[in-house]
Formats: sequence, structure tokens, C-alpha cells
Amino acid sequence: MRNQDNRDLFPGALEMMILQTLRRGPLHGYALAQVIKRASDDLLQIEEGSLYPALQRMLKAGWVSAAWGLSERARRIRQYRITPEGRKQLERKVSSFERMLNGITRVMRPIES
Amino acid sequence: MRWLWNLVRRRRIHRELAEEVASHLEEKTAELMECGMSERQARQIAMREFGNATLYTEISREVWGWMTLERFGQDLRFGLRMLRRNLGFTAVAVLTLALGIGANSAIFSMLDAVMLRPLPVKDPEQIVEIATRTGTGGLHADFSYPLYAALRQSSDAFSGIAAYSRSTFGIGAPGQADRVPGAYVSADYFSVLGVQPAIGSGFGPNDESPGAPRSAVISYGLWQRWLGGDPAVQQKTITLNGYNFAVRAVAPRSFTGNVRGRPEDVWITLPHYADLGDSPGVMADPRTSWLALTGRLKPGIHIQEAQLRMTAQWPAGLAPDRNPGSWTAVLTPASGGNDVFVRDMRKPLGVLFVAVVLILGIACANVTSLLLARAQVRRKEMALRLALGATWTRLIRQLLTESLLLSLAGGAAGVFVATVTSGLYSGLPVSADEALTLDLSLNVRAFAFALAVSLVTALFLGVVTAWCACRVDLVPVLKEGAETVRPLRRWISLRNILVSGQIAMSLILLMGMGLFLRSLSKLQSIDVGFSGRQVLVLSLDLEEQRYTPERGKSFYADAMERISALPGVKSASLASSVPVTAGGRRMDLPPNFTNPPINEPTRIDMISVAPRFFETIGLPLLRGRDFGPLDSEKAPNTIIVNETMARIYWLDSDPIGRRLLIGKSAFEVVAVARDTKYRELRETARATMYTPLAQSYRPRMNVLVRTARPPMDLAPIVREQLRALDSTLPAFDIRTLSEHVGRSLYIERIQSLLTSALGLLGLLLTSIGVYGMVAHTVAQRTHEIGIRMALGAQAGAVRTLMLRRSLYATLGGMVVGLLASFSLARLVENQLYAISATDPLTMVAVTLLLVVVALVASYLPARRAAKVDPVVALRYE
Repeated sequence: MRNQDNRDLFPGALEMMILQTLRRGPLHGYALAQVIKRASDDLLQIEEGSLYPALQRMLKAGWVSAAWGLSERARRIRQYRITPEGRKQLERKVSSFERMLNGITRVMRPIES
Repeated sequence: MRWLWNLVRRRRIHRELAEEVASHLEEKTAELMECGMSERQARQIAMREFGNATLYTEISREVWGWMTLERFGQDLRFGLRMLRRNLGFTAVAVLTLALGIGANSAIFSMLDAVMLRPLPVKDPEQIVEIATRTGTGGLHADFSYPLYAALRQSSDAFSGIAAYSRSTFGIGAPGQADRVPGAYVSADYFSVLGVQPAIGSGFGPNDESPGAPRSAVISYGLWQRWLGGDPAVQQKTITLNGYNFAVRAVAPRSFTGNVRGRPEDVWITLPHYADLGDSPGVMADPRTSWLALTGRLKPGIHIQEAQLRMTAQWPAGLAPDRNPGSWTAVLTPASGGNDVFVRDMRKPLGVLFVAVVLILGIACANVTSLLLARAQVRRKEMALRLALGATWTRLIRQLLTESLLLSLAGGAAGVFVATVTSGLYSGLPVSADEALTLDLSLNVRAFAFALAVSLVTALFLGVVTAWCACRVDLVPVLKEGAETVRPLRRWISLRNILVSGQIAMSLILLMGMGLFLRSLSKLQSIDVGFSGRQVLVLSLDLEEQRYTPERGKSFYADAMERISALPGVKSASLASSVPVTAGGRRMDLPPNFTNPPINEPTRIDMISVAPRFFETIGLPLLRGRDFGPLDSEKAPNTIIVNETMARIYWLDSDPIGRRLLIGKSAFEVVAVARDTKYRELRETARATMYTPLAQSYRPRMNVLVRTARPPMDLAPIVREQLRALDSTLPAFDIRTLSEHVGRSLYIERIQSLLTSALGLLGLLLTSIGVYGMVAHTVAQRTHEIGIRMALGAQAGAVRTLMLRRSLYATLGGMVVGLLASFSLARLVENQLYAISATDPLTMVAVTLLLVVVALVASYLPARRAAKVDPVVALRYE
């Protein structure tokens, strides 16, 4: 029940992608969802709603900060911004992700050839 | 802390989240509409791509960790609803728990008052009481002033040693008189204890030197009572034993001296004892031991070390019989103060504490079987919730919450029960002229205790019910009619265990009740040798009104004349001490100090009496004559001895007319009185010597009046006569002589009263438990009984079938209970008089009583089983 927000992804992947996206600039929830979807060419099956539990977790952990503002359509939105702590976390995640990917690729190669 | 902050802004976070989600959906809808979709279509797509909004919101909330709390809130609400819906069940369960927890709290508050509560002083754990032990093992806790002063100088293990001597003072203005308990104290008493007066300051070094100014520290209570709480109290004067004392300070409200159970109201310094106690020279006399000592250990010094140091530094040459080497210092921790008056209550309280724990056990067993019965009714509800996806942990949490609610309600009601009952036994009189005053008001510690007991109870109830709930098999329960097939055997056997446990605990309680009752009745049937039912006793203390011996003697003579002449009075007399009273004056004589000589140390109680004492209390003179007007101050000294003393000095020969030489004083024996019990009922006869009041004046006397009518009826008239002689002299502690004798059994009476109450309470709860078990079995097996009867079973056979189960449970419990009684025997055996803790008669009686009660309690529902109509029972399906 708790992990339904991560289905089809490995744990922590969503957080990593959110942090990576936010590194380019602050975004609100909806925009974040659009950016991630577009960037992954809709290959990843992410429900937009699943962003929110992840954002709340990251807020609590202090990896992102949030502030209320107005959107282009003058709607009240909450903008998320990556914190220095979040950057450090992203670096750690990325390097461990790369190691994992590396491992997986090595295992998968023989079957392909 | 952060967690708490999050909790506080929980609502805001929830609102923001909801707003954010809504805004997300609207943004998406707006965007899709811009692409030309209809609003309805756009909204649908937005919702679909978002996913389950409710679920995500819930998960997002959960991130903050309040769900446990929120669920707990739900459980709480649900639990409350359940309890409210079954009001009857709730009331019975709460009442049962209230009795159990209330009994525990009440006894705990006594235990707290007697043993646990520390003195309201600075660092009470550093406070010790000081005594000395002789080579032969005797413990002496009294010191002379010179010895105290020297000890204070020589012992370096203490940051201070204070001396005190309790007394009662006559306080008053002309026409207004009262008596207040107080103490003569050393000047450093308050500073050693670390008590800062609420008003004014404590004594200074000057206050302990000869000719010290007459000034007093009074208690907060006395300030309020006697001086009306006047803020200008330091300009006031009070009269103590006829001397004026300036009030120099008021003690803080919490401080009433360092003697547990006997609060004090006035403190004056030691030198004033010379005047007020009519004992000139007492401050310089190393032979008069009248002080108790309390000390404060220096920080970091262990009590053992202090004891060794004090012994090594013992001052020489101050007390001929207390020289260094022959004595060791004995220090006892006294963070709760001097416990001399409450020490005897410790063991009884230990026993009572065991008893109330058993009561709680019995109460818990009853509530558990109630909960089990209800759980069976609720099986369907549970199964349904499980089938709908609730987790086991959730259900168990629910059950735990419900038992927590029950226990807390029971605990709260229990505290109420304790408050009501503790008022019943505080301040009961223990000895001749003073009552034991224990502060039994429930304090923070008692509340914490009640809460802890409630929580333990909740845990027990919750775990047992949850454990049983977990044994439900889903499918058959949900199937209609499955309930009548077969009750879960396990539940039944758990019930049996509960009932057996109750029987066992009840048996132990009843054993206690039986033993203490029998012990008390043996004590009460001790022959004291006199008859006190028709004797009125009043106490007087002439010292409190500054009487000289001459004035005192004439007062006594006038009082006797007036009282004897009253109608309804058969005879009247005076005695310095009446039987049975702890303490009193006695002589300790070294070997061969007397003539006739006795080749070993002897100890003789000395009682000063007026003529007609023996006739008045009904103690026979076996030979010789009573004291009379002839035994005046100027006549040769005469004495009356008791049988024991006669035997010690003159063996079998007639002592009448013989002379006894004690040191240089000669006494002529004029009579032999029958032995009685003078200090306590259990004593073996002590040597007692009666002296005529005229030859041995004492300012503290008891007026004794033998009456033809009920003695208390005459009390007002007797008092009136005394008041006519001196209106300022209070006659206090008016009682009959039998009442006075009974008071010496105060602790035994309280103990047997409380153990009886607890024993009967336990029996009542147990019989409810047995009844409940059988009634439940009958209800469960109605169908089966119907079949049996349809097949020809007789009513008697059905009854036996139903009774058998409770009989097994009862017998099992009895075996356990009897074994436990044997092992607990050592807890009570030294508190019993003339009866063994495994007294067979008591055991048989108690076992029989329990069997009868259990049989009656199970017969009632079993009879109902036998009346089951097979047709009705089978149609039930």
C-alpha cells in the first residue's frame, strides 16, 4: 500500500528524477509532472498524482523547499525549489544509480549477443 | 520537537495539500480545454492521468507520520461508541475495575504516607536518625544534652546534627486553652533540615544558650488556626505552659516536624525545657537522656562510613555508661523522617498490599470473561471487518484501545473510591493521648500509581482479548448459523483458568481474613485481670498550666472529692498510667542494687496512683490494704507490688509488711495486686510497683471514674467539675477504659478489618465470576442440552454436567490456593498471635466456605439448564 506510488519504478527513482528536474529551476507540481513526462517521452508510466507523496517526503526530509506563488494563468500554485541538502542527495542517488545500471547492463549483455 | 511542530500545523499541511491537488487538476483541465476539449472530457482525462487522488492524498499525509495518531483517534471514537452502546456491560466492567484499582490506590496512599513520602526538606536522602548500640545489642535512641553537644562538635561526617524532644504544650490565653503538639529543638534544627520558614527566620545560636529569649516557631496550621493567619504574626505572643513566647517565625505550610504520623505545631529551643518541663539543670545533666538526634550527612559520605567515623570520634567522659568502645553509632536513613510511630504499620501494609493485588487479579479475571463473552458476540463484526480488508494489527489495536478506555474509566472511578475510603481510616487514635495523623490525600505519586495500575490492567485485558480474537476462523463465523455448532473450546478453557485463578486468589484472601480475625479474637480474649467497661478515663496535664506540686496536689484532692460525690459515681481515682499503654516510667536496676538483692539486672514499672485505684478499675488486691490518707508525704514510703514483683523479691513468702530497699530509699509493701497487662496485651507479666500519688507527685495523670451508669453519659458532668476547679485546664482524651485497652490493638484491628473487607470483596467478585462462567456455558450449550434431553437425559444429569465444569475449576483453584497459602505463610506468621499461619481449622473453614459459595454460584445457572425445554431449544435453530 505504501509503495504504490513507485510501481513500475525502483524505489527512489521518482525522487531522483524530481530532484534532477528541479535542479534546472523551481517548478510547481503540475509543471513538474509535465516536464518529467515529456522528458521520458511518456515511456515511464507515472501517474501524475504519485508525485505528491514523493514531494511531501522530500519536503519532510528537507531536500526541497516550497513556496506559494501564482502560475502563468494566475492560479495559486506551490513552487518547489531544490535545497543544498537536496543537491547532495541527488549526487549520492545518481552515483548509486549509475553503479546499479552498470551492473544490470553487464548482466544483460550476454543474452543480447 | 519537530514532530510536535508538524502535528500542530497538521491541519494547514492538509489544507495546502488539498489545494495543491485541486490546482493541479484545474491547471490540467484548463490546458486540455485550450486544446479544444469540452470541459467534461478535459476534467475526466485530468482525473485519469492524475490517478487515485484520494489515495495519493492519504499517502502524502501519511508521510508526516500522523496516521498512527489519526487511527488511534478513530479507534478511540469507535471504542467510546461501543462502550456507550453497551452501557450495562460498561458499567459492570468499570465498577469491577474501580473496586480493584481503588483498593490498590487506597492501600498505596497508606503505604506512601507511612513509608515512601520524603520529608519536605532540602535533599531528604541525606537525613539520618542517630542511635547507639550497646555491646549486648540494645538499641538506644536517646541522648543527654551534654552528649549531644559533644557529638555535634566531634563528628565530621555530618554537615549538621539537630536534637529534638517531642512534647505537648498547653497553649492559651486566660479562659481559652488548648493543647498543641510540639517539640523542644536545637537552635540548628531548621538549618540542619534545610527548612526555610515562610515568615521570619529560624533560631540563631543565642537561642540555645542559658537564658535564651522565649521565642517560638509555629506551624502554618497553628498560625491560621490560633492567630487567624494574621500577617503581623511576628509581633504576636503565644502562651506555652503558662510562659509567654514571642512568635519569631512561621514554618512553611508543608513542614510539620520530622516525626512521621505525628505533626507538630510549635517549636521552641532546648533550654526552655528547664522551665516548661520543670526540670532545672537538665541542660547540664549527662544522666538525663531526653533528646533524639537527626543528622545530615555531608554530600558524598556514605552512611556506613559516617557510622564508622562517628563511632571512632565518640566523645569520652560525658556519659559514664556511654564511653567510647562500649558503644557503636547506628545511623538509619530517614529521608521520610523519624518513623518510630509508624514503624509497626509496615508489615501489615505489606500484607494488605499483597491482598489488594489479589483483588485486582480477581477483578481483572471477571472483566476478562465479560470481554470474552462480548468478543464472542462480536465475532461476526470482527470477521466482517477482516473480510473487508482490515488488518489483524488494526483489529488488535482496536481491542487494546477499548480495554484501555475501560481501564482508564475504571482507574478514574477507582481513584474516587480510594478518596472516599482513605478518609475512613486516617487520623485514628493509636495510643493513650495522641492520634496517628497520616496525610492520606491522594498526591501526584498516588495518581501516577493509579494510572500505572490502569495501564497494566489495560494491557492484560487487551492482550488476552486480542489473543482470543485472533483465534477466529473466518469462514464458519460468517456462515449463518455456524455459531450454534460448537463453542470454541479454547475460550472455554481460558474461562476455566480464569475462574480457577479467582478461586485460588480468593482462598488466599480468605485465609488472611480468617487468620487475622482469629488472631485478633485471641488477643481480645487475653485476660487483663480487671474490668474496664464501666470505667471512664480522662487525661490531665497540670504542667501545661504551670502548676506547682503543692497546687497540683490540692487540685487532685479537690477533684477526687468533687467527682466521688457525683451521683452515679461508684468510685474515683487517679493514675499516672492506665493499662494498656505503651511506654511509661520504669526503673532499670543493676544487679544487687536492692535489698532483698537480686543477682541480675531488674526492670520495674513504676505507677503512681491515688487511693481506690484498684477498686476503681476492678483489679483485685490479693492481700493487704489499699493506699489511704495515711500514706501521706510525711509518712514512711509505702508501695503496692504486683504478683510478679512479689515473686521476684520474696519468692513464696508473704511480702506484706516487708521492706524493700532501692539504693538508699526504703519502701514498705502494703499490698499485693493481681498481675495485669500494663504496656501491651502480648506481654508476659512485668514487675510493677505502685506508689501513692501523695509520695510521688506527677503532673500528668489520668482521672478514673467507675460509674453505675454508662460511663460516657457521665463524661460531661465530670468535666464540668474539673472545669469548675480550673477553667483553663483541658481534660482531654475522654474514653472508657475498655476503649483504651482496645486502642492498643489498633493495628491488629485495622488489619483484620481491612483483610476482612478485602476477603469478602474477593469472595463476592469470585462468586460473580463462577456464576458468569456457568451461565455462559449454559447459554452456549442450550442446543446441546436440548438434544440430550430429547434423547432422554434426566434433569439431574444435565445439572451435574453443567456443575462438573465449575467443580473442576473450583477444585483446581483450591489446590493452587492452598499451596500458595503455605508459601505465603511466612509473610504473616510473625504478625499473628497464638495461631499458626497454616492453622488447619482456618484452612478447613475457608475451604468449606469457598466450596459452598462456588456451588451456590454455579447451581443457580445450572438449574436453569435443567429446565431447558427440548422443543424450545431445538426450535431455536
